Amino acid sequence: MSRGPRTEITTALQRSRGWLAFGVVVRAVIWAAATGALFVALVALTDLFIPIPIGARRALLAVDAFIAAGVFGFLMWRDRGAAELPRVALWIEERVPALRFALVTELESGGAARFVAPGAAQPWPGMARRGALRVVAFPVAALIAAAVGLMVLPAGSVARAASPRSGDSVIRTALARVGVSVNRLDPLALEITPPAYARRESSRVDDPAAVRALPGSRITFVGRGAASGVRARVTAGDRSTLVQARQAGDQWRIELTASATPTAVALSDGLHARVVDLEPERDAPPAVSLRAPVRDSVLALPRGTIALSAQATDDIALAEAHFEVIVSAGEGETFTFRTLTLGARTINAPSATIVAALSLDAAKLHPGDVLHIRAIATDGNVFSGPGVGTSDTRVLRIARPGEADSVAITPAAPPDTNQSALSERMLIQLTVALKARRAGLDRRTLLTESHSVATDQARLRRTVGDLVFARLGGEPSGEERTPDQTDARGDTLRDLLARADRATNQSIQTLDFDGGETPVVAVNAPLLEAYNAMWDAGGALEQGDLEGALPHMRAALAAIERSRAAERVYLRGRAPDVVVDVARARLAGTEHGSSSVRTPRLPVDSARDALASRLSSILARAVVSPATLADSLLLLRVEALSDQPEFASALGDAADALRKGQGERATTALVRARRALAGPIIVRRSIAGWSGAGQ
Amino acid sequence: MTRAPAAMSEFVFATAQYGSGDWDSAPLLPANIIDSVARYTSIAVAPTGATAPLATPLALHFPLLYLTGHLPVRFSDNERRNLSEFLRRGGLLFVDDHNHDVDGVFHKSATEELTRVAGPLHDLPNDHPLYRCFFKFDGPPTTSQELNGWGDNLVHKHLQAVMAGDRISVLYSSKDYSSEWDYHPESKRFQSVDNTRFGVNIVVYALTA
Amino acid sequence: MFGAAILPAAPVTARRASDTELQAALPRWTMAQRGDPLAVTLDRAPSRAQLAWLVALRQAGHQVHWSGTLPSIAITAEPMANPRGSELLALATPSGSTAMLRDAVGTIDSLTTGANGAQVIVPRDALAENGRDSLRAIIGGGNAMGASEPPPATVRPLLVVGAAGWEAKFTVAALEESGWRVYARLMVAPGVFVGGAPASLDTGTVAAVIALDTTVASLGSAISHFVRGGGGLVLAGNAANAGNVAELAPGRPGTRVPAVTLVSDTLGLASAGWVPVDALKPDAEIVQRRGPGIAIAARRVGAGRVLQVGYDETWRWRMAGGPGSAAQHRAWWAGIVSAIAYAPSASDSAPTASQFLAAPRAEVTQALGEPRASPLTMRGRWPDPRWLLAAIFLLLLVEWSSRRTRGLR
Repeated sequence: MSRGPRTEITTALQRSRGWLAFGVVVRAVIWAAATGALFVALVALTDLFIPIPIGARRALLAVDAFIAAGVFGFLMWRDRGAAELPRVALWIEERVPALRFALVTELESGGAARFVAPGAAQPWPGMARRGALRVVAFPVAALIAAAVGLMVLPAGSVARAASPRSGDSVIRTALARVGVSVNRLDPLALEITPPAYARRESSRVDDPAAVRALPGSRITFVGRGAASGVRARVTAGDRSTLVQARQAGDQWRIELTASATPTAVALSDGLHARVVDLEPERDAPPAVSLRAPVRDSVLALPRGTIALSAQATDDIALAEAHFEVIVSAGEGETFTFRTLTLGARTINAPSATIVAALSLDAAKLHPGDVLHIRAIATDGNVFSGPGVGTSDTRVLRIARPGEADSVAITPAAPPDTNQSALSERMLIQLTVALKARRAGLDRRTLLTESHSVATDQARLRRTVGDLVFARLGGEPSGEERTPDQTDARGDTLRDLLARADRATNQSIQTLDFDGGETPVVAVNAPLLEAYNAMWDAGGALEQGDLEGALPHMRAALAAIERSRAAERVYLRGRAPDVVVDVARARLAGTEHGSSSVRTPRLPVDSARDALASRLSSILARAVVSPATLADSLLLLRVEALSDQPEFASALGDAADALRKGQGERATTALVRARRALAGPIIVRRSIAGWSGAGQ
Repeated sequence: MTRAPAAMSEFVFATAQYGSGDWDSAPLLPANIIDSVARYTSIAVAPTGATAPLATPLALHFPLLYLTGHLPVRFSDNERRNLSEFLRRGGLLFVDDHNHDVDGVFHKSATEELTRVAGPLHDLPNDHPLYRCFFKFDGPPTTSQELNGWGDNLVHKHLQAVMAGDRISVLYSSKDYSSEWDYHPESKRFQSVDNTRFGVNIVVYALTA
Repeated sequence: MFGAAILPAAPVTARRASDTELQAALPRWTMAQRGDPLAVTLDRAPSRAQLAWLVALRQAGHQVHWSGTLPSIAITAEPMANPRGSELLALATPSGSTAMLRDAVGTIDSLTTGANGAQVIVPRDALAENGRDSLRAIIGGGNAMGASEPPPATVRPLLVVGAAGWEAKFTVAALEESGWRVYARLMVAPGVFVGGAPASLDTGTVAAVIALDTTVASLGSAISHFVRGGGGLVLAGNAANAGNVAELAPGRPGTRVPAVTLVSDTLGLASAGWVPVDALKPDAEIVQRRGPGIAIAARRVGAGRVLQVGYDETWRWRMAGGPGSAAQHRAWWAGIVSAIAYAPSASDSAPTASQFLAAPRAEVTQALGEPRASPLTMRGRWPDPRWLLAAIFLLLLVEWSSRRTRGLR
């Protein structure tokens, strides 16, 4: 049809078309809404009588949406003619016969007025408006009826039908049966709110039997009815507490905090009881891996910067990470330690990389110092932690000057000064003992014994002298071997040290006995002191002057101790073996031991046997009171969770089957539980002649 | 009977070698304890000690391990794994703080590592069978090192232990037996009282408990 | 009777049933005439009740014969001498058979048998309380066979004697961890012992003595009385060299075979070395060989049993063996002791028979004779009346047809 000039008729038809289209759309929408609402009301009504599982409700909601969309689509398609002018004209002419197809002719003729004039007098322009309003009236009424129906139904049932979600069992209104006491523990819902550091959403569980939660989570039990008389006994290990419920509208609520140990919650409302297991979800400590330095090492000089790098991951979220550097300085028995912290940063993510730079110059290190480097990360577990993860430790050692440039250094044999120390100590004891007996001895005997000690002292002095001079590269002391001859005192201490330094090509000007000593000086200065002290002590002993000898002997002992300390250098390598003459030592001791009893070991299965015994007694009691069997099994399950997970799993299945009235499945689960505790079945793929012997 | 029965397996005193510190800081202690075991018992004992690297399964061949040092103790993953297996199979680890300093890095780091591997340390009661299985003691013998001016300058009244049931799994000492017993066994003749007798108790306990 | 007078006697086929039809056929066969041949095809084992019924039919005068591929398998059960009260099942089967152990409530375990069968140690607690008499093994093709229920055994403590050392420590540990109570008498020094000893050495106080070395000589002649009275004795390593046990031992300790593995290798039972059993006595039995030598030998002495075990450093296996070696070491020692420990039955009652046959083919053969290769037939029987009826109808039909076709051209 060709478009004619726009006439008044055409304009009126277009207006009418607008009104009709409006009416069609609004009617379709309202019918769709009414259909949806009626469907929801139907589901809610059904839920009053028969509890519909959440999965089915979600499916029905989807069906409802599909039906509503279908109704909308059907109506729109059926009345699509309202968008076409000719159809609109026909619709009007159908209701105003007096027009005699004038409107259609007008459209077809392109606006020739002579055909429409009779029709222009008819009151048709307002008909579309009136029609549009009329068609929505009934759907509106249907929608209002559906809304009234939804308001009449219990809000909980409507909410369950319109927005199904976990944990909404407690808001369901069931029709009460006459003569049956209301069980405030059924329905039961449980809300789990994880701790803030976990950054997880809260969740709800309907009809819980066993749930897992992070330690520190807020656990809320929710049920319908009055809170008075509803309480929970919470048992974790040996501890047990009682928690009372509080009222929240028409519901009761019990709030707990999940612990790090398996917990049994026994709920009771005075008439009914049920048990819920709370299983802790393990929050593992962070795993830390030290990327740099890659391996242990020996550094020639304490200069430069060492790059540190580590990777840390956590199952939930890290909180902080840093590097720890322990600097050990010293040797022998005297060590000093200090700790440095580098690269510390706050993290709020499951994984992170930390880097830092260790400045050896700034750490003020000395030769011989040892650095222990490791990375440490903590997670955000503020309830039972925080969990701390550490990496492997890298050991960096600063080499001593003159030391072989190798990690593997074979140490020298233990110094002979060990024997010297003990011998000197023995001599001191002998002298002290002689001094104590002096009052009962005559002068001759005293001199004889004192002379004997002096002879030993001289022998010891020669040994020390041999040590010193041998290390200095010289001849043995050259002392005459008879104590009657007067020994030349030899060079002074300083001359001896000067000679030692020249022998080792060291500068003589670095004589500092307190620090920064060259190894030669550090070792031999104390020995020289001991040598001279022994000389003086020997002289006093020769004359029987015990009081005069003892200070020199003790000074010699102290000097030898210092010498031993100076030589106890930490070296990585194999300590020398000392072979004990076992045959000679065998039973040579003067003291004797005595017989004793021993404590028997427990069988490895003792804990398992205890659980088996508990299970047997529970099953025996179940014959008398079968209603409590499921709860008793859940209580036992909590105790077995840590050590016997297979047994605990079987008990959980048995309790679940008992709650659902599935006797055969419960029996199978209980048999599985018994066999999990019974221990392994041993199979040998042959028949041995002697049963049980051999392998 | 003055001769030990012909047992095939000798007791070998083993020193645990770990990577992070001075594990060999008491080189004469093994010989001293071996000498004492031979001196007072008829236990078949090897004449020299052995070194047991914790990082290798070789450590499992020595059910009694002695561990000491001055420097921080930081086990590698291998060392931790082997030590855990060692303790689980029935081994006994004797640890002695050569610094005898509860504020020192050896004590802090070693106790941290041991707690991680075996569990927390607790005071061992002084009437434990360890103290009467051969020689009789009223508790851990005091050493001459405890009040020598170094370390924590305390006389520790208890040893500490990690128990596996009723059995000691880890025995920890802050009394510096490493210094006390680190001398050549030949020098024992100069002592009026042998200060290594408690070491014999540790060996007898390890072999019979 | 008319037919019998006119017609010669025709051959008659036996009543037959397969193993699945047997239960329904037995009541019918019971109503059959005396002397009727009865043939059953057995590819699966019948139950004990079914076999008894067949025997009764035979004794009633029926000719009962059987055929089929009933395999030669058997199962026995005996209580083990261990604190857990385990049961030792022995299955004699063709090599490589798949066997499933079941009781009244379900499957216990499944296994593949070796060259001559398999042995299974089942903890007593693994069996259902009311399913003990229904313990059975099903081997390929659904053959079911059962075991008699053995009464439980009582166990007494063990006595371990030896010098203090790792072998003694870990042997005692393995036995105690297995649930045994142990008197451990470990010599530390002359006259100094760790552990205790029973008041007397007899089967009323001790189940077995485990001697780890020649320290057993300290028991004197009491050990001989103990063993002859029923006690068990394990001689490990060179313990058999002790004067008071040499006459009891199955042999003499030979020269020790040293360890052949590197110290860093994962160890097994024998890789730490062992002492072979030489000069085996005539009444001794070899339990285990290792290469050319004998590692374990056994001997009965009086009412008791003596086991000489050449392994003297089993502790290395426990400490330095592969994963699970501690449990294996424990199980090995428990098995050694169970083989010789004195463990009398708790009650005097005899074992109750299972509803299933313990040795199906053997028991069926014993009851019903050797199997027949072909179905049985017999002469002098009446023909089946149905055939006669059919013949009469056919003749009538022919006669009617002839009448109808008469006169047709």
